[in-house]
Amino acid sequence: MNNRRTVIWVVASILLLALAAGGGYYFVHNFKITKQQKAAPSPESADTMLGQPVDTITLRLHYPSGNRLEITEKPIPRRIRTSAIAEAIIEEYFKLPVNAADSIIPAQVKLLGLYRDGMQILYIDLSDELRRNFHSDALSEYLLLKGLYETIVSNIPDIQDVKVLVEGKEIETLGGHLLLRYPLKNTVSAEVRAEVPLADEQ
Amino acid sequence: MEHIWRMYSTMKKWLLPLVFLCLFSSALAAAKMTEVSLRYGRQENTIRIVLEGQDELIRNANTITSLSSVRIDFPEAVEIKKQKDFLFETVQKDRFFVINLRDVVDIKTYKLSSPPRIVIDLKSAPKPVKEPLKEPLKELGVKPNIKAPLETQPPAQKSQKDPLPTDAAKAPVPAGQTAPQKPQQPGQTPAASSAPEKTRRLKLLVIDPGHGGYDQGIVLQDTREKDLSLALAKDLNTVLAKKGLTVFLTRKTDQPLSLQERTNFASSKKPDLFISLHASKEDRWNIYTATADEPGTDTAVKMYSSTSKQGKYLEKSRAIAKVLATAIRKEFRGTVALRELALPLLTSLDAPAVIIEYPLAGNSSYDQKMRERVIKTLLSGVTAYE
Repeated sequence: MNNRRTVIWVVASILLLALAAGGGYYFVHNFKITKQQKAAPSPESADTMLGQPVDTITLRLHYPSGNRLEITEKPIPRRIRTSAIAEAIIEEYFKLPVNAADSIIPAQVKLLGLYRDGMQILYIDLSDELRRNFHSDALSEYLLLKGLYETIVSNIPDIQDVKVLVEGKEIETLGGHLLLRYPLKNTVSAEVRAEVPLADEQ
Repeated sequence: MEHIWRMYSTMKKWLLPLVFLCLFSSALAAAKMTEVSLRYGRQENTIRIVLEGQDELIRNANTITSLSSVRIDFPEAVEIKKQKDFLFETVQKDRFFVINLRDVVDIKTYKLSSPPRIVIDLKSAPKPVKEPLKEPLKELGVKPNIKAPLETQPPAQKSQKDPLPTDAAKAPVPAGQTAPQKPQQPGQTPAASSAPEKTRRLKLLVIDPGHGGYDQGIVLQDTREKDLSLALAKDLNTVLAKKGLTVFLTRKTDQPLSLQERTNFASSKKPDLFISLHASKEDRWNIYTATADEPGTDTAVKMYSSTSKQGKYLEKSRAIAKVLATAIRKEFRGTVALRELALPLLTSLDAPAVIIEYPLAGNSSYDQKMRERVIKTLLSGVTAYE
């Protein structure tokens, strides 16, 4: 009886020790990562040291405006990593312009993730606001996607194509007119043909 | 000493099963985590291979491709569960998986999520087909309600499609019409081909009210595109039915419908005309037809791109668009923009197809009177073409 109690105590102690060791390792490991992250300043933070950007790059944003895309240049603090540049591009693209009432850019779209595959396709994971806050016609949908594609490939030359995901998933369509199941290049590479050129439409 | 020995032997009784249990469960969990399924589908000269597995495994896998092999380096050892009768020879060792290819002329790989998967599209050299294709191309892992357009081609249409010339200038005989048509001369203008012929009759139409359900389309004050399009489609259905035409609506209620479901439905009816009703944010009418050219040369997209399907009917679609535009200009005295764009609703249809966008901007108000005007106009356009 006494032996059994001793055994139980020993087993319980071993389990407790193992648990403590596991927990300790987990916290130390996480703490170390956080510390490393804190220790290594990002290029962005280095750029804005002392509150003043030391170097900038200029983004070319292809914004839908009326029946066409217009290029706007926007200087931002220099980024080194492609992912940081892509992040800045997408955040700038979905920032509402001054005359937001006329804009077809859906509001409150957040960038959830970014990654690129071996074929240099950039996967952009956006929040559901992209779909929920887009209420427009076929041409607007085309211009929104074309603008996004052109903005990314013109600023990051090694990106071959762009694939849009919503909340981490492929969706069939953004606004019920064009397919989003495939990367954008082919969807937006065909130009709109019109009897009267779009730019001349009143 | 004896006491310690006795304690040790009692402990052994408890500890050993516990250790084995831990080892067994972790081994079981590990085995479950590293399983990757391999499936394939084929269509004509294209083969799609899909490797589906755990998110982290797929995301961190490196794919190295050449025309003779595909090598995938997974971050950890995996167990590949192959589909039976897999086409190619494979070699697997720990975390490396190699597919040895034959007769491949082009290869593309993609990583997709939901579910996490690596998609490998192979294009083989064209050669005489010895046996009919048994298996449709499957993009395995796509949501069940979304099917690739090639999958959903009705067999009846396929057999009907084969003997028809693919030249866009040669207009095919509309469904349900037996009288042979004189092929158009190459170089004939769309305007010339749009001249009504005595033998041409519209018998069956599919009308597609845009959007539906959670997809509201354009919302202007109290007017929602999905509701207005449905109301107009129902009214148009009534007047066309009175004229003796058979009309099908893609949706009769406020329900969500994917683009794929709409085109599948329309294709199954083999209509003489497909009209999709949408709203425009501009203060003008827009009529869209498909573009004549392929949007790109990408193999994967070409598989799904159905421009070639619409290609045969493009001249007819343009002719209908022009007739409708004339009717709208006459009634509303405004601008009507005729546009060509590779919209999937148009490109994937084996029938003359147009998308009509009515203006839902500015002072556009669609009361009963206005709706009657719209219907009257569309009816006169359809009648003029007929």
